[in-house]
Amino acid sequence: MLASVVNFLTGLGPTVMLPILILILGLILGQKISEALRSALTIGVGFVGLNLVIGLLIGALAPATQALIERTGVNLTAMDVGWGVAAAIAFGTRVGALIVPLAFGINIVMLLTKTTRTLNVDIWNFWHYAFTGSLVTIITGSIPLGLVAAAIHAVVALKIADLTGPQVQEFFELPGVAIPQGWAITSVPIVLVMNKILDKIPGINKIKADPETVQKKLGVVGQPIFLGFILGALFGLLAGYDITKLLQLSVSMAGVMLLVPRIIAIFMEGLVPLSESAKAFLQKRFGGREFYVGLDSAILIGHPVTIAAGILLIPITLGLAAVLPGNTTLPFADLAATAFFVCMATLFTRGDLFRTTVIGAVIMIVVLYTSSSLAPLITANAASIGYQMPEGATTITALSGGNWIAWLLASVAKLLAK
Amino acid sequence: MITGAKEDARVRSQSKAPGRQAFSKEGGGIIKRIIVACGTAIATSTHVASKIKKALEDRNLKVPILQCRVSEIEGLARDSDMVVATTQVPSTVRAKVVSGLPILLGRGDKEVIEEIIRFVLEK
Repeated sequence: MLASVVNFLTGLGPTVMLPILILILGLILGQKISEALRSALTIGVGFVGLNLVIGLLIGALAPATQALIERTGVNLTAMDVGWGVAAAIAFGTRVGALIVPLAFGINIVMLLTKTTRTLNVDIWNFWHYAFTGSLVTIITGSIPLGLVAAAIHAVVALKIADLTGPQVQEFFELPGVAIPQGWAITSVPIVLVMNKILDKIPGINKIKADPETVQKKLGVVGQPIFLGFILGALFGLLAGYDITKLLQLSVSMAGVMLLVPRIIAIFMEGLVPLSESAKAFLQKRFGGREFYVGLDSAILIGHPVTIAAGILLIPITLGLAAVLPGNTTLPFADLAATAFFVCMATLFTRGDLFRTTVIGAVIMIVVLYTSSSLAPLITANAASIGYQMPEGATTITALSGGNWIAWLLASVAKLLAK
Repeated sequence: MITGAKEDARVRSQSKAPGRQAFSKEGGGIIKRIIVACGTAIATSTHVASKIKKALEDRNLKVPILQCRVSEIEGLARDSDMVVATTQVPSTVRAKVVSGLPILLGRGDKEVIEEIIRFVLEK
């Protein structure tokens, strides 16, 4: 019975399935029908828009990647489609459809049993947990196993948010806040280990770098529209395009960088009422308790050191992608979000730009290898919800999907599936 | 255009640092705007912007709301704007800045909304 309902729902595709589920959830959480219907439809429309921009992205980037590979011999076959697309794919899968009740359920149980102090209201970033779960489902063919994997990611996220909460609150001056964001939490162990190693190197604390200068001199590179244009030109140049094709690719890429996020914002808009009702629901029940409110790591991105290190990481990541043996990821869309990859490094280096950048480079090595390794699975997931890649072409991945928890659980799933 | 230039000059003479070309690109007209900024101009800013939009609609107020990344505020904000940010704003930004975090947290959100409404209603 349940299986046939799930099959029917997934058969509808994400443009219909998600709105239905969002509608039901909204009504359960006490929204008015008109409000619930509006947010449900907005989510569906977000998916429709996403179909358009994915077409644009693949249509422009895939031939250029192909030409680049043929001409230079580099083996960068996995296109980085970015966090927006990765998130939408994750939400569009069967695990993604169930992630909101799952992650909330886990959070409520953990608050009741006092195994966490964090109330995670950042519904958007549930996509990370759904992402991990969807990979396990595509490997094993089992939805329950996928849900278990998503649950593990969600639990680890809450635990790391508990542990890092006090430092986040003190350093960023954000009282009552913790960060259970699915990617950010996976960077914490890497940052802690690297910071210890850097402590052992004499003279390292003497190296000073000024974030304001970096931002002033290179800030323009960090803006998506320019970043897209520059990357388009770079890829076109490497692909041996003539000036006409090169400029056309540059403007298309600038367009992709600007348009994908705009579409994702529609998606977000649809999630806001749900997030608000869920927050109200939970705060009514746990209102008397002291707890941290779990928010998006986006709130940490404004720190000048994070912004500066994020900008420096753009060329560093491209360079690493070119020279790391075995890497297949061609960084693109998530290069506009490099600051996200170092927000926790800024915290633990206490705002030291040099250290943050060095640790950021190590993080990007881990990210590149994981996103390369997960590319075939992400491509299969995309295909399972109707985003077919062009014939014989490349695979897709996202740097923001490059977290070791997903990789670890996917590896375990591969062993189980054998 | 001429009236625009006049208003432009007037506002500039009022501003704290005379000579700063706050209006050079957009031309005249002192339309108040609310700029909602976060790390990406997508996630948390959309959340905060939709709450503000709703609060303004409830009171029949019309003010343009722009979303941007924190790194873009500098180039975008005029002195007459209000910036609502969910993350740190560069100290060089001279428009009025309020934190949008209470709206995300659901603690103290009413006060922030009130402050925004007051800003909109000011002459």
